[in-house]
Amino acid sequence: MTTMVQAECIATLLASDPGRFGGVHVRASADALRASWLDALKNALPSGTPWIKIPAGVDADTLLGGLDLAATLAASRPVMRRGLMTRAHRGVLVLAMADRADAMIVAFLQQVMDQGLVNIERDGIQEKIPAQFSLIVLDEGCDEDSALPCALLDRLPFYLDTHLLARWQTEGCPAPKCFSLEIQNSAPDEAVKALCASALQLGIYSMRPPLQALSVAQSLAVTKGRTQVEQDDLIEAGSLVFAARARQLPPPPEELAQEQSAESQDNPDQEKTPPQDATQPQDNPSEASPPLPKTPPPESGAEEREILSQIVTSLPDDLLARLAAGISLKGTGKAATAERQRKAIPRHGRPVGSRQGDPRRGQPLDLRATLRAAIPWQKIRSKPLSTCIAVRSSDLHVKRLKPRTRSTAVFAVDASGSAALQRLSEAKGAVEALLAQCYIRRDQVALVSFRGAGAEILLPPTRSLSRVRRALSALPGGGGTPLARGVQLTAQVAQECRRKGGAPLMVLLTDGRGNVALDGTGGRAKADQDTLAVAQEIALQRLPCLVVDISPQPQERARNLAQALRGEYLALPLANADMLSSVVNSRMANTQ
Amino acid sequence: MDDSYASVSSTRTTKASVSDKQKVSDKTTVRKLVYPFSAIVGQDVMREALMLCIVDPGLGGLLVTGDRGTGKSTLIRALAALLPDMPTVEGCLYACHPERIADDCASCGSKTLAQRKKTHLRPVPVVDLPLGATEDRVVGALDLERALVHGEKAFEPGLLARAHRGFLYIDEINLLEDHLVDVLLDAAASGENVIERDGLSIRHPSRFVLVGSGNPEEGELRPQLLDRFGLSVDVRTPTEISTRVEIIKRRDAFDRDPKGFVGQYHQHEEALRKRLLLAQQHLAKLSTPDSVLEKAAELCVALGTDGLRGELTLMRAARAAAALEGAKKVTLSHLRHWAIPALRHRLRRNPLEEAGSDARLERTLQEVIPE
Repeated sequence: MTTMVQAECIATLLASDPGRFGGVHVRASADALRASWLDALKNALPSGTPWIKIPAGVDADTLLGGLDLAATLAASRPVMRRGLMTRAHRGVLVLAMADRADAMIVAFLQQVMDQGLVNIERDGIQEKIPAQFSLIVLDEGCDEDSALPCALLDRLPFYLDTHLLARWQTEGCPAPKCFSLEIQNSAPDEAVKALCASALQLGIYSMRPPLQALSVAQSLAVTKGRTQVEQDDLIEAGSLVFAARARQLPPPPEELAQEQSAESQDNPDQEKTPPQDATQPQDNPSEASPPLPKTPPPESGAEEREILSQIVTSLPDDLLARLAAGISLKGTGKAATAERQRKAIPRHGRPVGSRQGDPRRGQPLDLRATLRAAIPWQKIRSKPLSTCIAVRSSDLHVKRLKPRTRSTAVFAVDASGSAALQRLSEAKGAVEALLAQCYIRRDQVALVSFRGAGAEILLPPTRSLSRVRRALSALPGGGGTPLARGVQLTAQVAQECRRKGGAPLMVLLTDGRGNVALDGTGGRAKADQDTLAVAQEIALQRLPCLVVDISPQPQERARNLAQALRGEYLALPLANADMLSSVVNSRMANTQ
Repeated sequence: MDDSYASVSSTRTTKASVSDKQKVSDKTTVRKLVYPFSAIVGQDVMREALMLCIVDPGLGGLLVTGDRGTGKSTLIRALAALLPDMPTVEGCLYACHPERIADDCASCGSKTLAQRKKTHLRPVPVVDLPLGATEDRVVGALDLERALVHGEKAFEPGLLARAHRGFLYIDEINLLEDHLVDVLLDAAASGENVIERDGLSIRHPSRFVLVGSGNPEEGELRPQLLDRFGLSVDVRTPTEISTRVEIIKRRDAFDRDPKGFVGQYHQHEEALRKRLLLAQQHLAKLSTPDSVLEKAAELCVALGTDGLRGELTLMRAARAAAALEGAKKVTLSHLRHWAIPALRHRLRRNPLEEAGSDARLERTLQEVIPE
């Protein structure tokens, strides 16, 4: 059998045994090509194989299953409604627009994929039903930073994008086949080792990818009519499973040899590697957290290296370029974090389901859920003749609301002598312009300024236009630049906002030329050192941050600050208030 | 592929009446063949922490956080097969211990003395609380089938009843709905579960070991819930090639032939179970020198942990560790070994601290109990 292109290969494996492989992440726009690939997969599946689409805005009941009220009443005994996941058993489940999927829905999917069964404990129903399926995660991929949860992608062995689909098209859209994937032999140790080593060398730390790759390699061998895994199966499996997850490029072979010979000298170097080194994608600290193995495995044989280099060659060019530049590829899965920051019971917002509860405590009654809870019990409730449905207090359900998170822009204005006075007035103008818009959107603004020996909160988060104007016009300029203190105070204000359930955005207007250290003493070197230290600490809290360089000539130091904060850098040498406010506005929208 | 389900094919559990003696145990027998505990490679701290929770259920449970794909849930799900059986009052809905019948047990309350003495061995329950569980299934509610079919009011116990004297496991605990967290905290604090519904008023004992796992990046845990956990362990993916190869090989072997694989580890599991039983018996006989107690107090003061729970947990963990080793008394090395898991989630967090609380703990530990 001739080699298959990747898209064909993925479809073939999924079609052959949908219950075995976790699924595929398809990152391509919703065009004819994507549709034809999906069709090809659908057609290759044996007839009768489930193909189930998860509708947008799906609720837990539909996905997991629950009590079927109508059928229950008709049959006078509890009847369960099967959830989408159990209906997709040994078939395909499609999650479209995955980047917009609710965090809870994603968590359900993950839990069920891990166990291979749905554990239902809902509405008086208790069941464990097998659910092994291939999940096809469709992601339009229009947004570079779309926050697809990594934890879900980790469970999907395959990845398809526009390039891979285009290659499939140029080959004439070969139809995937369907094999019986009966794996008899365990893979030889060397094969397992080669896959593990390759994954590590590519910066893949999770244990799932190598495990998936092994299963893929074994299956590929079967499709080729062999019972034993061979080198090209490993290479093919490695490029299918590892390509999209690679976080770093392995050192070239000659370097590898050198490193091995100079092992002892090598270690201190590695410790000092600056964070912006290509091997550590900066915007994804969680992914890079496990320490790199200091040296490549000394026992790595020639065959292993061959497999690794073949996998690397098979990586798409743009990925190689991005890895070399140290840019991470995928979303960081932060979406869920913002979701879960509510604390007190919210009184306003959009409904996200209901729970049993008393509406007298201020939460709105959910009439539908209340009736639904009352209906099954009618038989045991003695009711006066005039009532159709006897509702008890224990039936009452209230709507659960998710509050709209309030955005707060925390401005830190550098009012020192170095940020020339003229620039300062521009900054003031920008803050005022923004505020007008924040007022309309009901967002908040806070103001911090730093000059001389310290920083101060001019204005805690507020929506009052006049207060901000007053505070700004009274803002004096001149003196040293206590940048570290300013950044620290800004972060404190932002942190406070977040604790109260808001979504803060820090906007630092500075030239980055700090010259006053945290302890108030002068000196550029010490001040810079403090600033970077403070910034790195703040970066760990992942506060969204924008550093606006307001010096006439963009400064390296402001850029370094932005990098240390893991924030965005924006040079505005010819800034006007309108431009700044439009940039901040778009970022504010993102913090939601 | 279907042979990985031992008895799942007939999953529709029988909805029997409350008086049916088999009811509770029936439901726990429906389970998938799980990866054996003793076959897990690496992750020593997590594994030992879980063993301590078996040796001393009063320890307060375990929270496991950390990287993806580290086998967090595999390990915890492996627990069920490892646990020894426990004696219960025959027919008690809430699995009361024959010698320590709970005052609030409605099921035993209606029994004669002779009935109470009949003992029945049951597996220690490990109850999975899935995301998406509804409150009625967690706390228990009226039996829907009986209400519909016979028009009778009968109580159907929930997960909190099933977990009594056993383990309650919550995967992705950080995503658990807030109102379920409230219910859990309430039961964990009082040791009992109270239900008021449709004129039915029931209370029953519910003392369980809470085991949670999750990824803090996907949402923070509430401090009250965090404080409930005795131990907290952070797991990282192993970076040793040989370890990783072994993990993959065993997992692959298990996936291809679950029955055979579980059979291979049968003896290991038996040995481990014996060791745990011995440790449980040994625990009461252990002596704890005052010097160790003092050091534990000193450590907690130096760290400024809130409340006494940290100190108590640390001592219990050290004692359980000593029992597991078969040592005669608790030593400073036990204390040092378990200080971080017992205390790391109780420190007041300094938002500007770079390396998290572990670094501070390590420093203080080194000062108070130098090696």
